[in-house]
Amino acid sequence: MPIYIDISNCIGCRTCEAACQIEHEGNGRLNVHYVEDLAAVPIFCHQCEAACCATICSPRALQKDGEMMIFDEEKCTGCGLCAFACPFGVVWVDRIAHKCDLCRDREGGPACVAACPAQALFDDFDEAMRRARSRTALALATPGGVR
Amino acid sequence: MIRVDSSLCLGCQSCSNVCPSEKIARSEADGRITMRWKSCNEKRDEGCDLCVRACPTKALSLAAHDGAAAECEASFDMAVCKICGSRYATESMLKMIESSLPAEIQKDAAGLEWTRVCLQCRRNVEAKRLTGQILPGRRTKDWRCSFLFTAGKRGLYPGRMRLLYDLIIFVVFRI
Repeated sequence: MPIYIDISNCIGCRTCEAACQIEHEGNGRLNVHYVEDLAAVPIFCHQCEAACCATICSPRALQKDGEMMIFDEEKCTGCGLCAFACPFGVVWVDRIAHKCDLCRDREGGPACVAACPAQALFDDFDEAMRRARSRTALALATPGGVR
Repeated sequence: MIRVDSSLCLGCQSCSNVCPSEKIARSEADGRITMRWKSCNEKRDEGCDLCVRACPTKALSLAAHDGAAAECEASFDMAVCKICGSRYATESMLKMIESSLPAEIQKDAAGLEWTRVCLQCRRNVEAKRLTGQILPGRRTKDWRCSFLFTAGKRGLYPGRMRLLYDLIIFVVFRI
Protein backbone atom coordinates (compact mmCIF):
# COMPACT_ATOMS: atom_id res chain seq x y z
CA MET A 1 0.00 0.00 0.00
CA PRO A 2 2.18 2.85 -1.22
CA ILE A 3 1.15 6.49 -1.24
CA TYR A 4 -0.32 7.59 -4.55
CA ILE A 5 0.19 11.06 -5.93
CA ASP A 6 -2.08 12.97 -8.26
CA ILE A 7 0.28 15.63 -9.57
CA SER A 8 -2.45 17.57 -11.35
CA ASN A 9 -3.97 18.28 -7.92
CA CYS A 10 -0.72 19.17 -6.16
CA ILE A 11 -0.48 22.88 -5.37
CA GLY A 12 3.12 22.72 -4.14
CA CYS A 13 2.41 23.97 -0.62
CA ARG A 14 4.84 21.51 1.02
CA THR A 15 2.37 20.74 3.81
CA CYS A 16 3.19 17.04 3.37
CA GLU A 17 6.88 17.78 3.99
CA ALA A 18 6.05 19.63 7.19
CA ALA A 19 3.63 16.93 8.36
CA CYS A 20 6.30 14.28 7.76
CA GLN A 21 8.91 16.23 9.68
CA ILE A 22 6.59 16.72 12.63
CA GLU A 23 5.64 13.05 12.63
CA HIS A 24 9.27 11.88 12.49
CA GLU A 25 10.89 14.43 14.81
CA GLY A 26 12.57 16.56 12.19
CA ASN A 27 13.72 13.81 9.87
CA GLY A 28 11.44 14.21 6.89
CA ARG A 29 11.26 11.38 4.40
CA LEU A 30 9.84 13.18 1.40
CA ASN A 31 10.64 16.18 -0.69
CA VAL A 32 8.54 18.42 -2.92
CA HIS A 33 10.29 19.25 -6.17
CA TYR A 34 9.29 21.96 -8.60
CA VAL A 35 9.62 21.36 -12.31
CA GLU A 36 10.18 24.84 -13.75
CA ASP A 37 6.83 26.54 -13.28
CA LEU A 38 4.81 23.65 -14.61
CA ALA A 39 4.22 21.39 -11.68
CA ALA A 40 5.10 20.54 -8.12
CA VAL A 41 5.90 16.89 -7.49
CA PRO A 42 6.20 15.39 -4.03
CA ILE A 43 8.81 12.63 -4.31
CA PHE A 44 7.94 9.62 -2.17
CA CYS A 45 9.30 6.22 -1.37
CA HIS A 46 7.75 3.89 -3.95
CA GLN A 47 7.74 0.87 -1.60
CA CYS A 48 9.42 -1.03 -4.46
CA GLU A 49 8.61 -4.66 -5.09
CA ALA A 50 12.30 -5.66 -5.45
CA ALA A 51 13.67 -2.93 -3.25
CA CYS A 52 17.26 -1.93 -3.94
CA CYS A 53 17.69 -0.52 -0.42
CA ALA A 54 16.74 -3.90 1.08
CA THR A 55 19.04 -5.78 -1.31
CA ILE A 56 22.07 -3.74 -0.33
CA CYS A 57 21.44 -3.68 3.42
CA SER A 58 23.98 -6.09 4.90
CA PRO A 59 22.76 -6.10 8.53
CA ARG A 60 19.20 -6.73 7.20
CA ALA A 61 17.80 -3.66 8.94
CA LEU A 62 15.61 -2.94 5.94
CA GLN A 63 13.44 -5.84 4.94
CA LYS A 64 10.47 -6.35 2.74
CA ASP A 65 7.49 -7.76 4.57
CA GLY A 66 4.54 -8.32 2.30
CA GLU A 67 3.68 -4.96 0.76
CA MET A 68 5.52 -2.96 3.34
CA MET A 69 9.10 -2.22 4.15
CA ILE A 70 10.18 -2.94 7.69
CA PHE A 71 13.00 -0.92 9.17
CA ASP A 72 14.75 -2.13 12.29
CA GLU A 73 16.56 0.77 13.94
CA GLU A 74 18.45 -1.57 16.24
CA LYS A 75 20.18 -3.31 13.35
CA CYS A 76 20.97 -0.22 11.27
CA THR A 77 24.65 0.75 11.34
CA GLY A 78 24.18 3.92 9.32
CA CYS A 79 26.58 2.93 6.53
CA GLY A 80 24.63 4.96 3.97
CA LEU A 81 24.62 2.33 1.23
CA CYS A 82 20.82 2.24 1.08
CA ALA A 83 20.67 5.98 0.37
CA PHE A 84 22.94 5.58 -2.64
CA ALA A 85 21.20 2.41 -3.79
CA CYS A 86 17.77 4.05 -3.96
CA PRO A 87 16.95 4.94 -7.59
CA PHE A 88 14.70 7.78 -6.48
CA GLY A 89 16.90 9.23 -3.76
CA VAL A 90 14.30 8.96 -1.02
CA VAL A 91 16.41 7.42 1.73
CA TRP A 92 18.24 9.83 4.00
CA VAL A 93 21.03 8.73 6.30
CA ASP A 94 22.09 10.58 9.42
CA ARG A 95 23.54 8.16 11.98
CA ILE A 96 20.71 5.82 10.98
CA ALA A 97 18.64 5.56 7.83
CA HIS A 98 15.43 7.53 7.50
CA LYS A 99 12.99 6.05 5.08
CA CYS A 100 9.23 6.27 4.63
CA ASP A 101 7.52 3.68 6.84
CA LEU A 102 3.99 4.83 5.92
CA CYS A 103 3.64 6.08 9.51
CA ARG A 104 3.24 2.59 10.93
CA ASP A 105 2.75 3.82 14.48
CA ARG A 106 0.29 6.55 13.60
CA GLU A 107 -3.42 5.98 13.87
CA GLY A 108 -5.38 6.88 10.76
CA GLY A 109 -2.72 6.30 8.12
CA PRO A 110 0.19 8.40 6.89
CA ALA A 111 0.47 11.96 8.21
CA CYS A 112 1.16 13.46 4.76
CA VAL A 113 -2.05 12.01 3.34
CA ALA A 114 -4.08 13.39 6.24
CA ALA A 115 -2.41 16.80 5.92
CA CYS A 116 -2.68 17.31 2.15
CA PRO A 117 -5.11 20.21 1.59
CA ALA A 118 -5.54 19.54 -2.14
CA GLN A 119 -6.32 15.82 -2.01
CA ALA A 120 -3.27 15.16 -4.16
CA LEU A 121 -2.08 12.34 -1.89
CA PHE A 122 -4.00 9.23 -1.01
CA ASP A 123 -3.23 5.70 0.04
CA ASP A 124 -6.29 4.05 -1.43
CA PHE A 125 -5.72 1.90 -4.51
CA ASP A 126 -9.34 2.20 -5.71
CA GLU A 127 -9.14 5.98 -5.52
CA ALA A 128 -5.94 5.90 -7.61
CA MET A 129 -7.61 3.71 -10.23
CA ARG A 130 -10.72 5.90 -10.30
CA ARG A 131 -8.68 9.04 -10.91
CA ALA A 132 -6.55 7.38 -13.58
CA ARG A 133 -9.68 6.22 -15.39
CA SER A 134 -11.32 9.63 -15.26
CA ARG A 135 -8.13 11.25 -16.53
CA THR A 136 -7.98 8.87 -19.48
CA ALA A 137 -11.68 9.38 -20.19
CA LEU A 138 -11.23 13.15 -20.15
CA ALA A 139 -8.29 12.90 -22.53
CA LEU A 140 -10.37 10.78 -24.92
CA ALA A 141 -13.37 13.08 -24.75
CA THR A 142 -11.46 16.31 -25.30
CA PRO A 143 -10.64 17.14 -28.91
CA GLY A 144 -6.99 18.03 -29.18
CA GLY A 145 -6.07 16.42 -25.89
CA VAL A 146 -6.04 17.74 -22.34
CA ARG A 147 -4.20 20.88 -21.53
CA MET B 1 43.66 -2.78 17.99
CA ILE B 2 41.86 -2.50 14.73
CA ARG B 3 43.30 -3.90 11.53
CA VAL B 4 41.90 -2.62 8.28
CA ASP B 5 41.97 -4.27 4.90
CA SER B 6 41.95 -1.11 2.84
CA SER B 7 41.17 -2.94 -0.38
CA LEU B 8 37.82 -3.99 1.10
CA CYS B 9 36.95 -0.78 2.95
CA LEU B 10 34.26 1.29 1.25
CA GLY B 11 34.68 4.50 3.18
CA CYS B 12 31.14 4.27 4.51
CA GLN B 13 30.07 5.52 7.93
CA SER B 14 29.31 2.23 9.67
CA CYS B 15 32.31 1.87 11.93
CA SER B 16 32.57 5.55 12.83
CA ASN B 17 28.85 5.54 13.62
CA VAL B 18 28.85 2.57 15.95
CA CYS B 19 32.13 3.10 17.81
CA PRO B 20 31.16 3.93 21.41
CA SER B 21 34.49 5.57 22.24
CA GLU B 22 34.68 7.59 19.01
CA LYS B 23 38.05 6.18 18.05
CA ILE B 24 37.13 6.17 14.37
CA ALA B 25 36.98 9.49 12.58
CA ARG B 26 35.55 10.11 9.13
CA SER B 27 36.18 13.46 7.54
CA GLU B 28 35.33 14.93 4.21
CA ALA B 29 37.53 17.50 2.52
CA ASP B 30 38.36 18.54 -1.05
CA GLY B 31 36.30 15.78 -2.59
CA ARG B 32 38.04 13.05 -0.61
CA ILE B 33 36.91 11.08 2.40
CA THR B 34 39.53 10.27 4.98
CA MET B 35 39.03 7.54 7.55
CA ARG B 36 41.22 7.34 10.64
CA TRP B 37 41.16 4.36 12.96
CA LYS B 38 42.92 5.42 16.15
CA SER B 39 44.61 2.90 18.39
CA CYS B 40 42.20 1.00 20.54
CA ASN B 41 42.78 -1.50 23.31
CA GLU B 42 40.16 -4.06 22.41
CA LYS B 43 41.41 -7.56 21.72
CA ARG B 44 40.09 -10.37 19.61
CA ASP B 45 37.38 -12.53 21.24
CA GLU B 46 36.95 -10.18 24.18
CA GLY B 47 35.62 -6.70 24.65
CA CYS B 48 33.97 -4.50 22.09
CA ASP B 49 33.83 -5.58 18.47
CA LEU B 50 30.96 -3.40 17.28
CA CYS B 51 32.89 -1.95 14.34
CA VAL B 52 33.96 -5.39 13.14
CA ARG B 53 30.38 -6.63 13.20
CA ALA B 54 28.97 -3.46 11.61
CA CYS B 55 31.33 -3.42 8.63
CA PRO B 56 29.34 -4.29 5.49
CA THR B 57 32.39 -5.76 3.70
CA LYS B 58 34.17 -7.40 6.67
CA ALA B 59 37.18 -5.17 6.13
CA LEU B 60 37.92 -4.78 9.83
CA SER B 61 39.42 -7.24 12.25
CA LEU B 62 40.79 -7.04 15.75
CA ALA B 63 44.43 -7.96 16.24
CA ALA B 64 46.80 -8.20 19.13
CA HIS B 65 48.82 -5.16 20.08
CA ASP B 66 52.15 -5.15 18.32
CA GLY B 67 52.96 -1.51 18.78
CA ALA B 68 54.08 -1.04 15.20
CA ALA B 69 51.21 0.66 13.45
CA ALA B 70 48.78 1.81 16.07
CA GLU B 71 46.77 3.96 13.71
CA CYS B 72 45.39 3.16 10.31
CA GLU B 73 44.35 5.66 7.73
CA ALA B 74 42.67 5.40 4.38
CA SER B 75 41.32 7.96 1.98
CA PHE B 76 38.82 7.60 -0.81
CA ASP B 77 37.96 9.47 -3.96
CA MET B 78 34.41 10.70 -4.18
CA ALA B 79 32.36 10.18 -7.31
CA VAL B 80 31.12 13.19 -9.24
CA CYS B 81 27.43 13.49 -10.05
CA LYS B 82 26.85 13.24 -13.80
CA ILE B 83 24.22 15.97 -13.75
CA CYS B 84 25.17 18.60 -11.22
CA GLY B 85 28.85 17.77 -10.72
CA SER B 86 28.72 17.63 -6.92
CA ARG B 87 30.64 14.99 -5.02
CA TYR B 88 28.31 12.69 -3.14
CA ALA B 89 29.67 9.18 -2.41
CA THR B 90 32.89 7.26 -2.50
CA GLU B 91 33.73 5.43 -5.71
CA SER B 92 34.01 2.09 -3.89
CA MET B 93 30.54 2.44 -2.36
CA LEU B 94 29.05 2.93 -5.81
CA LYS B 95 31.00 -0.02 -7.19
CA MET B 96 29.70 -2.20 -4.37
CA ILE B 97 26.12 -1.07 -5.13
CA GLU B 98 26.58 -1.67 -8.85
CA SER B 99 27.92 -5.16 -8.28
CA SER B 100 25.12 -6.23 -5.96
CA LEU B 101 22.15 -4.88 -7.90
CA PRO B 102 20.92 -6.64 -11.04
CA ALA B 103 22.36 -5.02 -14.16
CA GLU B 104 19.04 -4.46 -15.91
CA ILE B 105 17.76 -2.01 -13.31
CA GLN B 106 20.89 0.12 -13.23
CA LYS B 107 19.70 2.18 -16.15
CA ASP B 108 16.32 3.85 -16.16
CA ALA B 109 13.99 4.03 -19.14
CA ALA B 110 15.82 7.06 -20.51
CA GLY B 111 19.15 5.21 -20.37
CA LEU B 112 20.47 7.21 -17.42
CA GLU B 113 22.85 5.42 -15.09
CA TRP B 114 21.20 6.53 -11.88
CA THR B 115 23.90 5.16 -9.61
CA ARG B 116 26.21 7.86 -10.96
CA VAL B 117 23.78 10.66 -10.15
CA CYS B 118 23.53 12.37 -6.76
CA LEU B 119 20.43 12.00 -4.60
CA GLN B 120 19.09 15.49 -5.24
CA CYS B 121 19.39 15.00 -9.00
CA ARG B 122 17.73 11.57 -8.79
CA ARG B 123 14.70 13.22 -7.22
CA ASN B 124 14.75 15.96 -9.85
CA VAL B 125 14.88 13.40 -12.66
CA GLU B 126 11.96 11.55 -11.12
CA ALA B 127 9.96 14.77 -10.73
CA LYS B 128 10.55 15.64 -14.39
CA ARG B 129 9.60 12.17 -15.53
CA LEU B 130 6.34 12.22 -13.57
CA THR B 131 5.48 15.70 -14.83
CA GLY B 132 6.01 14.60 -18.41
CA GLN B 133 3.76 11.59 -17.84
CA ILE B 134 0.81 13.25 -16.18
CA LEU B 135 0.80 16.69 -17.73
CA PRO B 136 1.89 16.19 -21.32
CA GLY B 137 2.85 19.47 -22.88
CA ARG B 138 1.20 21.73 -20.36
CA ARG B 139 3.18 24.61 -21.78
CA THR B 140 3.22 23.86 -25.48
CA LYS B 141 -0.53 23.33 -25.59
CA ASP B 142 -1.21 26.44 -23.56
CA TRP B 143 -4.14 28.29 -25.17
CA ARG B 144 -2.31 31.56 -24.62
CA CYS B 145 0.40 30.46 -27.03
CA SER B 146 -0.93 32.03 -30.17
CA PHE B 147 0.91 33.50 -33.10
CA LEU B 148 1.60 36.65 -31.10
CA PHE B 149 2.88 35.21 -27.85
CA THR B 150 5.17 32.44 -26.81
CA ALA B 151 5.10 30.87 -23.37
CA GLY B 152 8.46 30.63 -21.68
CA LYS B 153 9.96 29.68 -18.37
CA ARG B 154 8.52 32.68 -16.52
CA GLY B 155 5.13 33.04 -18.19
CA LEU B 156 4.27 34.74 -21.44
CA TYR B 157 6.75 36.55 -23.62
CA PRO B 158 5.69 39.05 -26.26
CA GLY B 159 7.39 36.94 -28.88
CA ARG B 160 6.42 37.85 -32.43
CA MET B 161 4.10 40.64 -31.27
CA ARG B 162 7.17 42.55 -30.16
CA LEU B 163 8.80 42.15 -33.55
CA LEU B 164 5.64 43.46 -35.21
CA TYR B 165 5.60 46.52 -32.95
CA ASP B 166 9.23 47.26 -33.59
CA LEU B 167 8.70 46.99 -37.31
CA ILE B 168 5.66 49.31 -37.31
CA ILE B 169 7.41 51.92 -35.18
CA PHE B 170 10.50 51.72 -37.36
CA VAL B 171 8.49 52.18 -40.55
CA VAL B 172 6.27 54.98 -39.15
CA PHE B 173 9.22 56.99 -37.93
CA ARG B 174 11.02 56.66 -41.24
CA ILE B 175 8.03 58.23 -43.01
